[in-house]
Amino acid sequence: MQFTPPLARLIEHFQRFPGVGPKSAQRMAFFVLGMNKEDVGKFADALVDAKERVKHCSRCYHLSAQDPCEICMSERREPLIICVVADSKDVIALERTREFKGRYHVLTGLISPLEGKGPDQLSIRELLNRVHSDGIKEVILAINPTIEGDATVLYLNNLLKPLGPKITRIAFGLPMGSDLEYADDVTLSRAMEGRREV
Amino acid sequence: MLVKKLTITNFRNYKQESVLFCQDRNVIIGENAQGKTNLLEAIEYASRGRSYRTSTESELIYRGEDFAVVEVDFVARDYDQKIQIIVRKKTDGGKTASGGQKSEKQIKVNGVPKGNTRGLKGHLVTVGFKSQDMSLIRGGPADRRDWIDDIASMLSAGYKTLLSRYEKAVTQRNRLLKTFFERGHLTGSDIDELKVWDQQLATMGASIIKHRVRCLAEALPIAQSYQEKISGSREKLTAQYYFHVSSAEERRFDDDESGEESEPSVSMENSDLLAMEEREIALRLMQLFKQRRSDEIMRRQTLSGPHRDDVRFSIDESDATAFGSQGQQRSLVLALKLSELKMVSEHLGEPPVLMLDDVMAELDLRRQGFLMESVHRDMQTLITTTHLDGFEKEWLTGATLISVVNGHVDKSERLLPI
Repeated sequence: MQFTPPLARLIEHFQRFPGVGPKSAQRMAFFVLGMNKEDVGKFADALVDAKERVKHCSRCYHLSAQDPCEICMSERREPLIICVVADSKDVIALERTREFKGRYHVLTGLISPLEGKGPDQLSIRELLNRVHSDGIKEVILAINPTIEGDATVLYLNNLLKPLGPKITRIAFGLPMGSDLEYADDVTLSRAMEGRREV
Repeated sequence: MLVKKLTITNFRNYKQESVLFCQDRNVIIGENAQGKTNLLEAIEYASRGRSYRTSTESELIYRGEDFAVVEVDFVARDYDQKIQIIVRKKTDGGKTASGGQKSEKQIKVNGVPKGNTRGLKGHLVTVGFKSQDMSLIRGGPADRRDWIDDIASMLSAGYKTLLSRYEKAVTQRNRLLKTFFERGHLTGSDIDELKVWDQQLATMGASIIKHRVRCLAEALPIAQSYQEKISGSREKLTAQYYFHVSSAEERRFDDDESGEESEPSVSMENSDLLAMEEREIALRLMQLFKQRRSDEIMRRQTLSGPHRDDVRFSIDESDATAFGSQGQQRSLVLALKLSELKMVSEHLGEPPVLMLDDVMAELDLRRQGFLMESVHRDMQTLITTTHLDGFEKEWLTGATLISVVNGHVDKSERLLPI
């Protein structure tokens, strides 16, 4: 005996989400059945609304309902410093720190041939244009220290260097409030490499 | 290090067995297919969390049972320790890639659960010499790379990570080469993209090569002195690190008379590599990538780099793999293994447990004698054999003799002076 088609269809849709297996999908579908009709309508609207209104900003490729996005439009932001990140989620993470006052550029991924992502699939050409035409002074690369991240950093560095801005990469090391003894060997040796005078 | 007791349940052909070992020489004797090697396998399994005989761990479980337990009581760093591993067949009945049944294991070291086999690292260290080790000379470059990588990861903590990052980058690069191959033409930005991976592989590759060469430089003098003793100072052992060159390229070398100038040298003296800066090695790798670009795209494979390199051993300047006699190859492997043993001992600050699996069959009397002599009296040795003929009386005196018959330890006795 299988679930009746409308329910089975809903379960299948949930199951396509990242990190959701058959059991979780079932629970979600049953939860939807238990909701009142008005809430289900709001949920459906939210899905469609988000999909329709959220777009990549035409300057920095951050996800926003505005174009250009809030950050690009803000006049209180230092316009000549760009922080390059892989993903919109990284922008949000960096914004939480309230430390960075420049603007962003979202690459929409990292170079990874295995996933079919090359420079042309990312917003790299747009970044180069921005750096060139806006006369950017500093490009900060806030990119994960993975193989794919390192490859992307090398690629960007090769292309950005001739354009003249200062190019930096964020430091790697110990998380705050953590213990030396719990750090893994690689992190620790990177932290050693990146030491600085106190 | 000292293995005091091995307790196994449903392991291979053992239902339930407990074996006590003495602190120096233990001889496990029995006819073929009785379960001698299974005892050594169980200890090595506790030491590394994997078996060198199979990748399908459900094969370790006694036929018809659902689980196996291996427990080893041992002394290391001067205190009593215990490793316990339970292997269970998975109930959902999934199959591994090779068609075996899936299994899961639970590891405990001194009662503390460990999430994975990495948690076992450094607790119980064994060095083995078994007939499979002959692949060090007779096998392919991969066998020799594994050997040197094992030693390198023991000596340097970050080496394993470096190696796995490098391998990931090779996979990415190969995929890119495949895309280029399928597309058939290259644009300028394609070359830029490929260069990025070249740079990554060259930097990491150079570091790997440097580690390996340093290891080799440390191991070689030790192996040489063993080799000299084994051969009665008649044979001189040397080793060379090889940058890999594909066979197609080698042929081109032969055809092209002026090849010497236009192509880079492919084998390098250890001392040269040792003197080279990591940056120079990286540059050389970059050169190789550039030269072979079209070949690499044709074959959709990264053709240069440490994942293709080799270490070649020579005896009196002729290649041991190609020209060594059986006897020479055996003594060479023995010398290499003994040098590994010595390096491991020095690194640990105490001798590891030495496990010799049916090695007497591989060695002539003279080499057997030498092996027994070089085994320190203060090092615990477990050795399997089908008969005692090859052993010297003196060496056997005081040793513990463990007889194995059909999955049982029949008796265990200490040999008294005659």
